Amino acid sequence: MFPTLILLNFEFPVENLLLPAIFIPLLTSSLALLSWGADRVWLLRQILLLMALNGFISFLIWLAVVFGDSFYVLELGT
Amino acid sequence: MFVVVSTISGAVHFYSTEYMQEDPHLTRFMGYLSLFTFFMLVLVASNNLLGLFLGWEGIGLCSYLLIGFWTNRVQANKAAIKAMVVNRIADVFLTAGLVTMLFFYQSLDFSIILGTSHLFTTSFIFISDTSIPLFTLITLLLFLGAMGKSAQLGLHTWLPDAMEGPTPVSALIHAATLVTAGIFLIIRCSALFERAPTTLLFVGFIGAATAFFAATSGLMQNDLKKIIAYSTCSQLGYMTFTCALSQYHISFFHLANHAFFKALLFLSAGALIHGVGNEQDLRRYGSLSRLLPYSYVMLLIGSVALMGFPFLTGFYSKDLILEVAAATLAPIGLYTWWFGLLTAFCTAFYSLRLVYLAFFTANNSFRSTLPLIHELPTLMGSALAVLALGSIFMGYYGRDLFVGWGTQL
Repeated sequence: MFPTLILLNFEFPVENLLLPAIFIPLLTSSLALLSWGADRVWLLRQILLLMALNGFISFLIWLAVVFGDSFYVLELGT
Repeated sequence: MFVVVSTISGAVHFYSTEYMQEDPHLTRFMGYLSLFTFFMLVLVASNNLLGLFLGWEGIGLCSYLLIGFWTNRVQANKAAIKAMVVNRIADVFLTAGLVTMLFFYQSLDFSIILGTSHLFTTSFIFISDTSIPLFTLITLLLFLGAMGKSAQLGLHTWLPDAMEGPTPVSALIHAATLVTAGIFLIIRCSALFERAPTTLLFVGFIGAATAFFAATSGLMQNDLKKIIAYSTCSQLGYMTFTCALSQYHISFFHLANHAFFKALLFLSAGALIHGVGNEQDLRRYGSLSRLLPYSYVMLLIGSVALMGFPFLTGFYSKDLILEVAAATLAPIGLYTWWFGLLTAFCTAFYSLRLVYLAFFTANNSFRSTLPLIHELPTLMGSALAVLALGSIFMGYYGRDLFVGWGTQL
C-alpha cells in the first residue's frame, strides 16, 4: 500500500519518476563500459542493483497509471 | 510499454550475468544491454517525434553492437551488418516522413501534431501530375519506416539472421522490445493513420501476409532459435494487421503479452542451448524433459502461451484479434481473418513440433555431450520464473487495463 499512498493520496508528481527510470540504464551502461579493471563481481552486483531499482520505479509508474487518473494516456485513433 | 521494457530488461540482465559468465567481455555486454534499455525507454517515453527518433536510432546502433558481439564469428558480423543496412533503408522513409511532418506542422510534438491534424484533412501533395493526400503520404512513409524495425514482409530478412547474437540479446531485442518499436510508432501515430484509409489497407495487407509467410517459414526450420525468430515475425504481423483494423488497443495488448511469452521462450531456449553444450539443431535434441525438467516446463509454458492455449496470456489477445477481424465488415476483415486463422494453426503446429523434437523423441545428441547436460543455475531460473508468471497471468489481469473494464471472454 505504501507506494500507492504516496502516489495517490499525496499527489506525488509521477512525471518526476520518469527521468530517473530513463537515466538509470544509462548510468548502468556507463558504469559497465567505463570501469576498466574494476572487480567483476562488484560491478555485476552494482548493475543488477541498479536494474532492480529501475524495475521498482517502473512499478511505481505502473501503479500511478492504473490507480491514478492524471498521467500519460496514449492518444488512440479510435 | 515503459513497464514492459523495464521488466523484460531487468529479467534479461539477471539472466545474462549467469549465461555470459564465462565470456571475458561480460561487462561490455552488460554495458550494451543497459545502453539499449536507455534508448528504448527514451523512445517510449518521448512526447515528440524527435526524441522518438533519437531512441529509434539508438536501439538500432545497440542492436548492431549486440548482434555482432562475438566479433570472431563471421556469421555474426554479417548478420549485424545486414540488420544495420536493412534498418537504415527503412529509416530513410521514416526520416522523409518526419521531414514532411515538420514542413507542414512546423513541429514534431505529438500534442501539436495530433491536435492540429483536422486542419490538414483536405491537404494534398503533388508529385508530378499525381495528387496524394497528405495523411496518406505521411503515414505511408512512417509505416515503411516501421516495416524495417518490425520485420514486416520484404524487410524481414535481418531478423532470423540476427539470431547469431547471444540468446539474451535475442530475448530482449529481437523478441520483446526493439521489434515492437515499429508497432509502437503506428499506435502512437494512430490518429494520423485513421485519416489515411489507403495506408490502412496497405498495412493490413502487409501485416496479414507477414503473419502467414513467417508462420509457414517456421514450420520447416530445424534451428531452435530460428523457429522462435520466425514466430516473432509472425506475431508482429498479427499486431500490424490489428492496427489496420483500427483496434490499436488490442494490438498493444498483444504486444505486451507477446513480450512476456516470447522473452520466456527465448530465455528457456537459451537454457536448453546452454545445457546441451551450445547445440541449436533440434535434430540433435530429444528426451530432454527428463534431463532438463525446469527448462522443459518453462519452454512448454512459453509455447502454449504463444499458441493461444485457453486462459494463458496469448489466448486473450489472439482470440480478440481474430474476433475483431471476423467482425470487420470489409474485405480487409475477411482477408486478415483467414490469414490470422491459418497462422494460428501454423503457430500451434511449429510450437508443438519444437516441444516434441526437443523433449519427447529419442535422444539424438552426441555421446560425448550427454554427461555435460545440466540444468540452469538459480539466477537464470528465477528470471525465467518471473517471465513465466507474466506469460500465465498477464493476459487475464491485463485485459481490463488494455481492452476496457468489464471485458469478459
